[in-house]
Amino acid sequence: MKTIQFFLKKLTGAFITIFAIIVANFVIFRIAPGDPIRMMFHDPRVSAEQIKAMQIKFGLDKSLWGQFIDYFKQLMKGDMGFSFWQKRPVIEVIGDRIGHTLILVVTALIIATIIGILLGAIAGWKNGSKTDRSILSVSLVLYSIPTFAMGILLLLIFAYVLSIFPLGGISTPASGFTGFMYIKDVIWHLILPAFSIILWYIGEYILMTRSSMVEVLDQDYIVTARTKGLRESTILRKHALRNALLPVVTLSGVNFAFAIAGVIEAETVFSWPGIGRLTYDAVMKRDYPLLQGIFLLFAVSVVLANFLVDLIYSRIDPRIKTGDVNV
Amino acid sequence: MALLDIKELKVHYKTRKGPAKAVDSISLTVEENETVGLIGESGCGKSTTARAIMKIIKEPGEIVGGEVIFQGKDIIKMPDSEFRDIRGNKLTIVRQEAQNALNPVMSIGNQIAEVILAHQDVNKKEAWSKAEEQLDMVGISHKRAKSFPHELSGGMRQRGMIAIATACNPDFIIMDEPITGLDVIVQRQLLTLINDLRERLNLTALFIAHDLSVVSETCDQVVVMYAGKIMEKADVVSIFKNPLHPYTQALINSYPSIRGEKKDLISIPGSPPRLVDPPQGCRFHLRCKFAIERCRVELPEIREVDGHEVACHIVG
Amino acid sequence: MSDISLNNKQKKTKIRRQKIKDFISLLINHRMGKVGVGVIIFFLFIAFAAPLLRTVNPHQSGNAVEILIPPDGQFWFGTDDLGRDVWSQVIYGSRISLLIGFISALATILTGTLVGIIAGFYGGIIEEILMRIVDFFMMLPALPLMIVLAAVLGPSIWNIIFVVSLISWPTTARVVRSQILSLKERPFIEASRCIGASNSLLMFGEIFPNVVPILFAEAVIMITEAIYAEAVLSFLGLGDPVRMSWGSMLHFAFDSGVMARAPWWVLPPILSIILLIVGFSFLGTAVSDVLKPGYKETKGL
Repeated sequence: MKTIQFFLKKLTGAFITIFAIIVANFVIFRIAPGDPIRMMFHDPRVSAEQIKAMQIKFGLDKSLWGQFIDYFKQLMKGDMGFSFWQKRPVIEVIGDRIGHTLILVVTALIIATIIGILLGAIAGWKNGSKTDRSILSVSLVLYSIPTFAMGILLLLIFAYVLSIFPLGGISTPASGFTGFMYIKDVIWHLILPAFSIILWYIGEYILMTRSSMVEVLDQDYIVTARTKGLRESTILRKHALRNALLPVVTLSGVNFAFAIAGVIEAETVFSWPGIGRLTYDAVMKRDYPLLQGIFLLFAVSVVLANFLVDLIYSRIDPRIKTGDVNV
Repeated sequence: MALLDIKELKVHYKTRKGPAKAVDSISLTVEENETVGLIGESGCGKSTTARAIMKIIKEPGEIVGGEVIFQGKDIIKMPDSEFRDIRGNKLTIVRQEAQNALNPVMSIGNQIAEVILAHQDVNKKEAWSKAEEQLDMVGISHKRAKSFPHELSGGMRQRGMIAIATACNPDFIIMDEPITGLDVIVQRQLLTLINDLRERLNLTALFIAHDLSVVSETCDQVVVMYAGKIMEKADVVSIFKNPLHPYTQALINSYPSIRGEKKDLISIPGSPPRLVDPPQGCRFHLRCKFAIERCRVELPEIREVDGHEVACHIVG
Repeated sequence: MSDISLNNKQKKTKIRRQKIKDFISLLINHRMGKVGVGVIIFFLFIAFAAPLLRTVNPHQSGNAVEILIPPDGQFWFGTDDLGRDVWSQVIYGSRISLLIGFISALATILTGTLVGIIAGFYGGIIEEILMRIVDFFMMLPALPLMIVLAAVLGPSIWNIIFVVSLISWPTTARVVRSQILSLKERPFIEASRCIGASNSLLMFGEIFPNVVPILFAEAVIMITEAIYAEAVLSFLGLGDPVRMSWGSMLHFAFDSGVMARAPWWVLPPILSIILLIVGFSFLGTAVSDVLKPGYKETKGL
């Protein structure tokens, strides 16, 4: 019963947030200085009549409220507007790219999470030791390097100078690769952009896991475990790590939002044809409807990620179900 | 031979102003089937002594000297791998404030079974049923074995800690203020449980408390500590009837009478010294109304007077 | 009477000064703090002394012959694809990063503290509403929101500061609020209330001074994040077109397509960004270490 209540509460919260995001998304693109139609075209040669016609076509002659109702209705039908740069519906443009981004994000996050948690746990366990200090310094440095800067460095070193990896894109153009060869080619292209995300993420996960670990190791129940005469490895696994990972899981929703930043930067540097590169192109082309659609996608996916994290968390922390701990 | 023999134990906490001598060269023995009470104000080093015996002193604390001989072996010098078999098995502890002493994401049954699995040659199923027996023994129904700590009351959690500490039939158990921080009725129930178990399991125990009435009910011998030093040791009857050390006297006078008779409570003036630079001579002389010149300069040795061991220049 | 209170005030100031002194010495003795402070002072020096460091106007383009010249005696870091001096761009770029970092942090801290104090102190419906807004902002993905806002508002240094501050204040508000909530329960606040202190006096006279150390730690983090955000936005082409920052240098280099032929154009801004952010991160770590209770007593042995 409590579990269902918890689920419904979180679900309602997610819906309200998504609605607020839709409102915000609408408002942001209306506060822009200047006329939205002019903004969209950027061309002084477009005549006043043409603009008027456009305004009527896009419903911009209506009141702000009327415009919002239109926008909302269209969204519900899956219509995210029309990309002026690509001359196609926004949803199609995004749909073409989203798979590429998922490949990149999922690969990078899985690798980074595993390595980061492992190193963070070791550093926290050996808190204050030389190992800890070196892991901490390295992770702080990694965490401080913007993904795009890391990307450019990797690109210069491994693609231009050493020529080990391709310069960008998702596959070798006109190679005619199929089947296994194609997959191999894609992985080849994936490595550098993935690593520029991974390296930042490892830093983030190390810092998070380490500080959580240090905090947990200071808890009374670790002392209890020690007084039980358990092996250090058992204490680490069954008592310390399990508890230390709880906040790491909670934060993985927030981290997902950071992942989006990493994706935008890495895809831009390596011309990876996903949503991140699309964001950059939309900015460069000042394609506002496309940008609006992308932002909505990012924001909603973060809300959903957080919702998912809440559900997972309620499974792994027994305190949630009875409502003892507020998430 | 004594079951536990502490010799010149020294525990220091590193601070910026130099080491704080929390336990300053104390010696103490506990014979088999005997319960020794260790009393004193908070900060006198009694809990530190307990933690030193279990070797769970946390940074920046450190055992800097002395021996703790348990069943004929010095556990301070013993390697961790060897001590692991004793700790939680033959030598156990129930610490104060069990609120956070249990792992929040593990059921109470599992936390008991875990210690059994670590020290006994049993499979998981046997360990679990033993854990359930333990729960029944400490007065929690075995039906609660799957409960998580947050679903248990403070008193039940402390019972759980006792169940863990007694799960492997220990030879020696340290009770470090096991009932502090609980409400009075729960304290009473726990005390009854502890006394009951002590008799049933034939336990040898070191009982740490700041509440004299608790000590009077549970202990055979009483050791009084002050500022990292032992002041007096005697059997429980004689220490209450005939306290020799001025500090012991002051401590007893500052507590309501155990038998409930009316008397004036006299608080001890002043506060315990800082352990970074304790006063020269007797640690207690600044607060002692009987202090003489000698107390200010010379640290009193422990002597035997009237069957008490006492560290005071003016006694006897 | 007034003599005594004056005396008390002097005493308080004296204690505060001593505390600040202690704090600074602990910070400088901290392994990472030392490095961080060193790096930051280095960049501050460069930013202030920029005109004296053999620089020219960083936007002044050279002639067609001086395009993409490798480093030499005249152009220490070579030139870019318009013949502009990379050395001068890097030196002046430090001004943009630091300016944006400090101003955004200031704006963030001011807004965040105000919201945090109001929410924490008044509680009830006001707190509920403010915290909902904070939660909403924290839920939004920061970089996409900054990109959208910067794109809509147009590229300028002040818009970047506005955007960065708009994204960051909720974190500070949260931290301050939780701090206030715990401070509110302390006896000294109760005592002040009993002797009839007004709400605003309580807030700014009694509670605020206790939040200052945390605000300092927050400020360091905010500066770090602002510098980071500016670099990313500028790299994505949303930087101020009339003020060359390290991020915009990289944008132009990247966009030119000749980046690989001119590492002297790319490496100095990249390394500067990394070094400056690492400096602030180290300082931030040191500050949060030093502020931990018990640090003073046990560390630096």
